[in-house]
Amino acid sequence: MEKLLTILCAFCLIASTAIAQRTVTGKVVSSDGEELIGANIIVRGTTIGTVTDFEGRFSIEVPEGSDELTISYTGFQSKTISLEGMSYIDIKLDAGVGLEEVIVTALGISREEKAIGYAVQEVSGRTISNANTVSAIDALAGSAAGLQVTSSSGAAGAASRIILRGQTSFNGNNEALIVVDGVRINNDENHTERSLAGVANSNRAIDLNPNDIDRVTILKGAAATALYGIEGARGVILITTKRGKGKGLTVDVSTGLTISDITNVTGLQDEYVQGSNGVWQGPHTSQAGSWGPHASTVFWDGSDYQWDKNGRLVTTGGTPFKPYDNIDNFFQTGISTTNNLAFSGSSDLTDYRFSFGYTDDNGVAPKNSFTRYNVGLNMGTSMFNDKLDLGFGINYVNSGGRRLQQGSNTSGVMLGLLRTSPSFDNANGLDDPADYTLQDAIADGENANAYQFLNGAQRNYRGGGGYDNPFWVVNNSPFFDDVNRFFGNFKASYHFSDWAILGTVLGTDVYADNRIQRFEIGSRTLPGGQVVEDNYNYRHLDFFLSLSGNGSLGDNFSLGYNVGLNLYDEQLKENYIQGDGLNFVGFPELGNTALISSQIAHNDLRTAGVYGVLDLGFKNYLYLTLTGRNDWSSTLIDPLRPFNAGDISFFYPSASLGFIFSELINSDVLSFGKLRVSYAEVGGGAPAPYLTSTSWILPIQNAGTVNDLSDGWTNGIGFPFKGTSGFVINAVAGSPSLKPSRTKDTELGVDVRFLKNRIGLDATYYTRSSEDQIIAINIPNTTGFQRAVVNNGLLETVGGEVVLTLNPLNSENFNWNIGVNFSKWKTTVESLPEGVPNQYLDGFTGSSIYNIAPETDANGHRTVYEYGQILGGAFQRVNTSTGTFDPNGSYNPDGALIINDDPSSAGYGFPLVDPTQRVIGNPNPDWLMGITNTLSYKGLSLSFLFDLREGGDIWNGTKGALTFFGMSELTENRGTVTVFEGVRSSDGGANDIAVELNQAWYQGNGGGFGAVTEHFIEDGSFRRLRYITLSYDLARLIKTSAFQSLNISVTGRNLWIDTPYTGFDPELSLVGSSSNGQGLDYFQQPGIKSYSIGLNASF
Amino acid sequence: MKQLGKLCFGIGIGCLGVALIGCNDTPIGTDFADKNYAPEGALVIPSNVQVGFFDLGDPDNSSIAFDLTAKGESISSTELMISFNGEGEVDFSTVSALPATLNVTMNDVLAALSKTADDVAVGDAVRFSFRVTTQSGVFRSSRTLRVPFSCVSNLKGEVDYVSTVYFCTGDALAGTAEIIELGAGRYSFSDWSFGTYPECYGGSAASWGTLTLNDVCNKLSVTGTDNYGDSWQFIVNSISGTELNASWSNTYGEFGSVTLTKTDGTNWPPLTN
Repeated sequence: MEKLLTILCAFCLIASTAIAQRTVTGKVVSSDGEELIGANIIVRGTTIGTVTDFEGRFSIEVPEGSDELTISYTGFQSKTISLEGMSYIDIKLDAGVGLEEVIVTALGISREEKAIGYAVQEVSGRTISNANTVSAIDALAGSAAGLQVTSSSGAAGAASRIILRGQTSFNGNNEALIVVDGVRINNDENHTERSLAGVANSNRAIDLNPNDIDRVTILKGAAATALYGIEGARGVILITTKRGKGKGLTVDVSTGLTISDITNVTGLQDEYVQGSNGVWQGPHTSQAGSWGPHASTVFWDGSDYQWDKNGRLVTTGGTPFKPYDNIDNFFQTGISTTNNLAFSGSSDLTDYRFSFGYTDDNGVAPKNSFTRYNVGLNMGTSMFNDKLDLGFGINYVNSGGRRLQQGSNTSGVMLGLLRTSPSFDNANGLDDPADYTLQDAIADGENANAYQFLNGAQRNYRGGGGYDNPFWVVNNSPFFDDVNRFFGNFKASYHFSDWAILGTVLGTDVYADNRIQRFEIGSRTLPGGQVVEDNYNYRHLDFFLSLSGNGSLGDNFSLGYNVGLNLYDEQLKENYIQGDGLNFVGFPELGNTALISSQIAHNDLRTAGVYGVLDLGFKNYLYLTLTGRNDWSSTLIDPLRPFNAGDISFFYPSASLGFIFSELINSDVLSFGKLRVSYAEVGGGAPAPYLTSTSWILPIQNAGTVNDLSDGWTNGIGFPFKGTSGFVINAVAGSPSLKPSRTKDTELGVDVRFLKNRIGLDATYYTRSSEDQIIAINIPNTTGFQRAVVNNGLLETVGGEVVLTLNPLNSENFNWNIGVNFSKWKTTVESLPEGVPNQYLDGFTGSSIYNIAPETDANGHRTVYEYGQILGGAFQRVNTSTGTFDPNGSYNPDGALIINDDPSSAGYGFPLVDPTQRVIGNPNPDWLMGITNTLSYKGLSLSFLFDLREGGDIWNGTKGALTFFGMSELTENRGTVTVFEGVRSSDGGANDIAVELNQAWYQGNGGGFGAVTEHFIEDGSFRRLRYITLSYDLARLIKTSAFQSLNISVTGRNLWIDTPYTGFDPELSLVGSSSNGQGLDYFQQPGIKSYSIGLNASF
Repeated sequence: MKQLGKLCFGIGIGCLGVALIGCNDTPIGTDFADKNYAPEGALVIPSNVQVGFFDLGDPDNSSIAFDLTAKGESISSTELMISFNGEGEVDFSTVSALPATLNVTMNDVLAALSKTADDVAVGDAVRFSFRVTTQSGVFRSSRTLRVPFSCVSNLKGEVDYVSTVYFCTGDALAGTAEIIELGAGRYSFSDWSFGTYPECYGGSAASWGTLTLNDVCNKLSVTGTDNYGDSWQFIVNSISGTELNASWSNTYGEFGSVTLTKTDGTNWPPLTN
């Protein structure tokens, strides 16, 4: 607050000194309220001019005798305004009838929007900053059609997965390529541990400062992205950062404060205490479940009991028991601050922008934090009469945080927290359980802090065994990461003539991601303690050399071309050092471990490509673009054969056509109309290097890789083994004959706008097939391998998008805009290699995500499955026309349950289990929709986004496990007598057998660890208020030239969520951003809602 | 008016988006509990079963007793049914009110089944099941009671043993062991080795695992395994008054011959294998 006041005072001081000057300030916005950046302001009749800044602001010296300003902006109708003595003026420009707006397309090539033959959407920097997220990727959620953003967790710094129009790869990366100022950046989520456990990592897009983003262009189809190669087939997020605009120095300052809280936690019961079969069994018994007596029937006896200050639980006498609220005691209010400072300016020949950003995000879990420092510099200059343009952008980022274990591991903070019985107080009655140390306990004469006794033994609800007390995890199992990163670009172009522009771009992205994971002695996952130092060193170089030009050929034709060369070199080196067995407590460092193992992994690849683009225009309504690119990929090199460039070469073309039919129609209603059609192919190498050969590796004990020599439960063995080093052959067999994969994409679209663009409709239909996929499949272990890489498989995607824009109200002071994005797509697995029924992606035994090969039943009916289905256990259901269950028949989720009616069976009256694993869920959404409303009245603006997802099944494994342990709210109905809705197995009659829902049922097939998981597959649909922002332009009140803008805003995010999903936020995914196995919920951190206040000033 | 029309149009679009919710196939987990866990029906729970079997050795005087309690909806009527060896159910009786304690004779059961005592043998069983009527319908209770036909057994007590021929070869070993009743004709010896383990190994076993001596109408058998996972046999060679001579062996290769003498002076029943 002190900082805020200082800034305000500074502003006031500057304002008071400037008030006497003959300066006119103002703001230029579009008819829909969007600030227009770079609009030209000229004092009429003079050469005095300026351009608007990022907020649409301007400041101009008006000489005496002049009283009119002329404002112009590409794509909008120019306007001349009479000042009439005013020193501040708001100007609104109406969009032009045609579309002259320039869009940045692949490889940074700027083109008029009307000339593009494929779907493109832009998101403004304002939308990004309004969203008030730490990650710019999160800010894109709901803002564009075909775009799906999935956060891995509500933890500070957690990764977000961004998918455009479905999947294109079985094994490889399916996330959209991120390109900043024409140069791709790395967006990997580096994993120290397996995806089902470990911590909520970041992916590297989190290093971008949302405040530095000018606009985001979303290139979806392959025709739009073909020039990026196979990475572009996944879609491209093209980010343009802010540059200096406006004469003189502009200083932009922004500060923001965000407080956050958890949105939802899987429902927990607090009616039954720890125990079994209705009998209390306290922590001293190590009892895992909460199947004890009802809370209203037990009392604290006040006895001396080390696990509870209130004593043991008894059935008579004492103090009435009151359940502990472990959730409330654990989570805190998250506080995040963001501060940005930027200096920018430009002249006729140069522009510059230097920015500094600082984000400090303290999560809702204690001691979970993420911090980011951004320093950026963009500069550009023109020389030799604007013939030579030079520019560079360089960004330094330092980011990282302190993260907590989650997911499927006994040190997972949520696992220990949620399984804790309501009769055990994880906080041990402390107000500051996360910070209260053993030294504090000694000083206070206590026998323990929240998570540890004075003798060092762990204090948790299972008598020190089982799962870590979450406060133990917070303090004794921290994970730290520290990323130092440079990324940037250098650009140069020489304008020989309009027909010959020689350009080059050199981009790079270099980072060191240094991580350390500590497990103190006594941690449940690794009782002996462990320290892992895992360092990723990444760098890539991306070089382009191009020759381009454009111009008119006579009155009717226009021509543009761009030919070039692209060299891409990427290196990733991972240094993994694992120290097992700490020698003594209190010093969890590698030097204090008994056994140190290490492994160095390299992942280097290189791609060389040549490309060409040819743009042809006929009159002003027909535009044809042809592209072609040939790549040579190092990932396809067979090291055992003599090098032959032809073996690793592949060519792919694209063509797109835009037909502006509105140019041929004279209509007052139709403002603009375009039909577009495109076809593109994209080729690609292997999804990772070295898949053409089988390597030898050094397995490390329990390092969580496919090469672990263990059963998944015990520590197994690894090398060095008793001091002897050794290597084993990789469990994944390479394939020397890999050939390029290929994606083919066809797109049809129409873009129509009515009533001077106040109504716009953009609809797109597309199909895509990804063939000759390079895929790792499971093979019989008798081969000596677990998996093999093959060239096979086909994915097909069919989808559609609708973008609707409306401007229902538009008056001088009031404006209302509505934007609707609707998208629907389906990516299906059309084939897998012969004899391979499915391909594992991620998950658990009994509930895993697989790609399933098409199935053909006895009647010849072919079933094709969508990408990444949930395969798991099911109950028997009627799946025949005769009302019976056929184990060889197909899965019928709508069929009646088959009820065991054999009285001699233990399962009498309960549903029977299907012996076959079934496809029990589809994590892919049916459709997505984002509805944005922006209302502005004078300087007040209200913007809100409703984000809707229909479908998208989720395995609520958290609920399943908690049901087993008697902690799920579901189990509050224990003792209920019910009759399952189904038919009797013997005669098909309606079931009439009453059963009791009890511990045996929930610890058997009724719970999450039984043979059946279908009843924990839930609908992940949601309707949420993604954000709502109210902002006010304080400069309107002050009306001084001292400020170009002074904007205050309050934002709420995720304040309202309506979903049938009963677990954590349905948008979360346990496995993070990099895994293709989505749809799993298992003890990740819950989602968050937040409230922000921000102040932005420019002067 | 024109603006109003546009306003309605805009709102209409918003509503359309919201209305589209609910078009997908709902996965099973979303409403599984709603469909199947709603309170419905009632249970009749048998408990405190006395005797636990029908005594083939004394059919005319054999009976069992058990308590019946109710859970779930209020029950207006309860019918008992019985089935023999999993065959079809027959009506047996009606219980007027719950909770109740029932006393059921073997003869009544046999009569309901249209059988005589000669028609049943060891290993046969009847199952009592319950049909209840509540305000929401007629239901079967998943709780049933299986009652086998068997015999009274009373082998528990102290015995003196003399082991003669045994696996480590030595002098005869004399001592005392306990036959511990586990219930329903099931027993365990306090020392299944009858002194041979201390003699051969210098100590007894830490435990005897799940070894159980079963007496079903004077036919003995051993089930379960010792704490090393080995199975045992106990073969009755001869019986004379208070003395029983038997041979034992196990899958580990240990064996012995032992004479057990009841210390309370009662005779052994005519046990066989």
